[in-house]
Amino acid sequence: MKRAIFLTVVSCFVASEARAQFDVRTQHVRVDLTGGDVVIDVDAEVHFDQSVSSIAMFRPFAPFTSLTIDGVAAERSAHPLAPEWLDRVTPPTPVGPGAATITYRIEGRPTCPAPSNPAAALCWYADGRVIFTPSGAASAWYLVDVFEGTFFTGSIAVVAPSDHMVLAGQDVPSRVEDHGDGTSTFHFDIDLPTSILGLYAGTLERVEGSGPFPVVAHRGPDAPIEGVTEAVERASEGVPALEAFLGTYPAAQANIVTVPRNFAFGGMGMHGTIYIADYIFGPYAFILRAGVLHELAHTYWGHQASGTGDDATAFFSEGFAEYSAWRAIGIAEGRAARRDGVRMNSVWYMYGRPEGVDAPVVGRNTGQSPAYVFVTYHKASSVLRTLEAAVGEAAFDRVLGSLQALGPGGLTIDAFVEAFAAEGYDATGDVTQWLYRTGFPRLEARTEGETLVIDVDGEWQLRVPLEIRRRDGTVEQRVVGLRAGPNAIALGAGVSHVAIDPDWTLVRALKSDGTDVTFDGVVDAADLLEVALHAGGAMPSERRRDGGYDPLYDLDGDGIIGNADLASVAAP
Amino acid sequence: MSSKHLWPLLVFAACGAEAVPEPVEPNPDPPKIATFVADDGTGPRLSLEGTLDGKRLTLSLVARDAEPLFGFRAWVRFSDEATLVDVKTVPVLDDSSTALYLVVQEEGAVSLGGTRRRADVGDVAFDGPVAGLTFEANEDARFDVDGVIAKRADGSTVQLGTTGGTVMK
Repeated sequence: MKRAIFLTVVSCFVASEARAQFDVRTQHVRVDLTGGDVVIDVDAEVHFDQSVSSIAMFRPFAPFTSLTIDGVAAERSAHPLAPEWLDRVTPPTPVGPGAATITYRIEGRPTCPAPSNPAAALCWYADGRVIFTPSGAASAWYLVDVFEGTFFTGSIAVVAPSDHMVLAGQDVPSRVEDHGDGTSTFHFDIDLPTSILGLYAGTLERVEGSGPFPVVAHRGPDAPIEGVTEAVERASEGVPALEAFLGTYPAAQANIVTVPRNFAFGGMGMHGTIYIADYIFGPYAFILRAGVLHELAHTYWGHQASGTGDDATAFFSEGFAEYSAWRAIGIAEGRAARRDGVRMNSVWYMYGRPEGVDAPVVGRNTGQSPAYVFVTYHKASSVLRTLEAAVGEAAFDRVLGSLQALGPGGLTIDAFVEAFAAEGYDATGDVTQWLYRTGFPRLEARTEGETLVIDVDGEWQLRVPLEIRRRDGTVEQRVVGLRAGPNAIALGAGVSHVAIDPDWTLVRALKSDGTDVTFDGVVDAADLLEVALHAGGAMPSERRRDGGYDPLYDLDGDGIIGNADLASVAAP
Repeated sequence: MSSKHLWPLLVFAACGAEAVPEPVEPNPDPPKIATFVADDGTGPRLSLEGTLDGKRLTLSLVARDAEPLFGFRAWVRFSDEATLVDVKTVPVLDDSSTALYLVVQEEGAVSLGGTRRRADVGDVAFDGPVAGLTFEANEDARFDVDGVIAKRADGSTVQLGTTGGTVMK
C-alpha cells in the first residue's frame, strides 16, 4: 500500500505535532452511493490519552454536514498547520482523557486532487466507477488520526445499486442485504485492525483468472484487455507462490481494480484488492509482472503485518512487498527469473538515482528524500534477499512467519533483529550497514595464480557466494566473508570459471580488473561467451524496466554491453 | 580310369616340378605404425578425432550428440610428446557477422571456443567439427579435453562430456 502518500504529505508538518492525538479503536462506516451525491456516515470510538481542547482532522473529500464529539456538535476551522488539508475541530468543552465518540456525516461529490499534483486524483466518482483510497490529505472519508496511523476494527456498509460489484473492507462481503428496490447494502467486516481502507463500487467488466487462486479483475474501458488478462493470470498463478512462503492468503479471492489514468499512483495494494492504473496495462505492461504481485503482497506486508508509523514502516511495507513479489516470481518461473529481478532492483538503486542522491532505507528524512523509491523499494528488497542468503531460506521463512505474527502495527527494527536472533543469526551489523547507512559496496576482482583477490571499496562486511567450476566439470559452492580492502581467496588448482554472487544476493557493483570476467586467470572464449550472453544490456531509463544491465560485463563502462565490450575481450 | 583316381594326378601335375614351399610362419615382430587412438565415448560430448601422417597429427575437436547452444569454450591439453603447429576454429556457430571465435595458446594447452554475439539471435545446432588442430606428435603423446563451458542463449548450461586420445603404435 502506498502509505507514503499519507506519510509524505503529513510529515511535512508533522515535526511539531508528531504524537497521535487519539487512538481510533472501532469505527463503523456507512456509504450510500444510490443518490447523485455520496453520503458517508462515520461512527467512531476513540480514546484520548489526555484532555484536549481541539483536534486536527483531515478535511474530507466531500463537505461535512455534521460533526459531533460525544454527541455535541463541534466547531470547524482551517488548521494553521496545513489550512488546505486540515480542519481544526473544537468541541464546546475539552474532551478526554478516556473514551469518546466521534461521529460525522459528509455529503457531496468527492473531489480528491493529490496534494503533490493537483491534476492527479486520489478518488473517482464517475463513469460507473466509484473508487476511494485510504483517508489522508485530500482523500479523507473515514476517521484517522492525522499524525499517526492507529488501528481500528469495525465495519463498512455500502448501499449501492444491486447490480454493482462492491469491494471494501478486507474480503468479500459478509452479507448482502437486498432492499427490493434495485439497491442493496453490502456489509463488510473489519476484523483485522487497520488504518487503511479502500472502496470500489461499479459495473466494470469482470475478467477472471484461470489459475489455481480465484482472481477477478474489474476492467475500465481504457485498460487494454490483453494487459488485464495478463495481470489476472499472473495474480492467479502468483498468489499460491506467495502462499508458499507467507502462508494462506487471507482473503477468499483477490481483486484487481483498474483506476483511471489521472490517478495519483500506478498501483496500490489494499487488503485483498489492488488498484492499478489503466495505462499500466498498455504501454507499461512490463510493470505488471512484478507490480501485480508486489501489490498483492501488500495484503501480507502493510495489512496483515505493518510498521508502527516510525521510520521503518515503509521498509516493512514496500521493501517486503517487493522482496515477496520477486520471491514468488522465482517460485513460479525459476531461479533465473528471480535473479534478474533482484539484479534489476539493485541496478536501479545503484545507477538509476540522480547524481548524489541517496538516503538510508530507514532514516528520519527518507520519506521526503528524492531517493525514497530507490532505497525503499529497490535497495530494501535486495537487502532482504541478502539476509535470506545469509540465514538460509528455511530460517528466513521462519523470520517472515514471526514478523507476520506481530500483526498490524507490530513491525519494528528491534522485532526484526529479534526474529533473526531466534534463528541464531545476529542481524545487527546488517541492519546498520544496509538499512541505516547509504551506499553500496563496490567490488573489483582479479586472479593471482590460484588465488582470487576481491577488493572491497568501503567499510562493508559481506558474505559473498562463489560458484567455482573446475576443469573436470565439478562445481563447488562456497560463501566467503569479505571486508574492506583486498581479500585473498584460495581457489586451488584447475579452476575453469568463478561466478561471484551469481544469484545477485547483494546490492553490489562487481567489476573485473581487466577483461577476465570468468576469473579463471585467462581471457578466452569463456569470457567472450559471458559478455555475449549479456550483450544488449543497457542501463534502464525507467523504473522496473529490466535493461539486462550487469556492470561486470560493461567492460568499457559506457552503460551499454555490446560489440565494443566483446571486442575488448577478443583483442589480443 | 575313373575320375576318382585321376584328380591326385592333376594336383601333382599342377605343382609341376617345383618344390613344395615351406609354410610361412607369421612375423613375430612386425613393423608397427603409430596411430591416434581415440578414447571411447558416449553421450553428448566433445571428442578428439585424428589422423597421424608420419609425425604430423591432425586432430578435430568434434561435437557429438550435442544440443543446440549459444557458445562454448574448451581446453585441449597435450603432453610433452606433442607440439602444437596450428589451431583453427570451425565457424560452427555461424559466420563472423553473428559469431565470434577465440583461440588462446598456453604451454601444453590451447583454449578455443566461440559465441554468438547476442542472446537474442538464439542457439544454433552444435554438431560435427568445431576446431582443427595440427601437431607434431611422437609416440605416447596424450591429448585431453577439459574446462568445457557450453551455454544456451538463456544462460543455462549444456552438459557435455569429453574424450581425448593417445598416439600409440
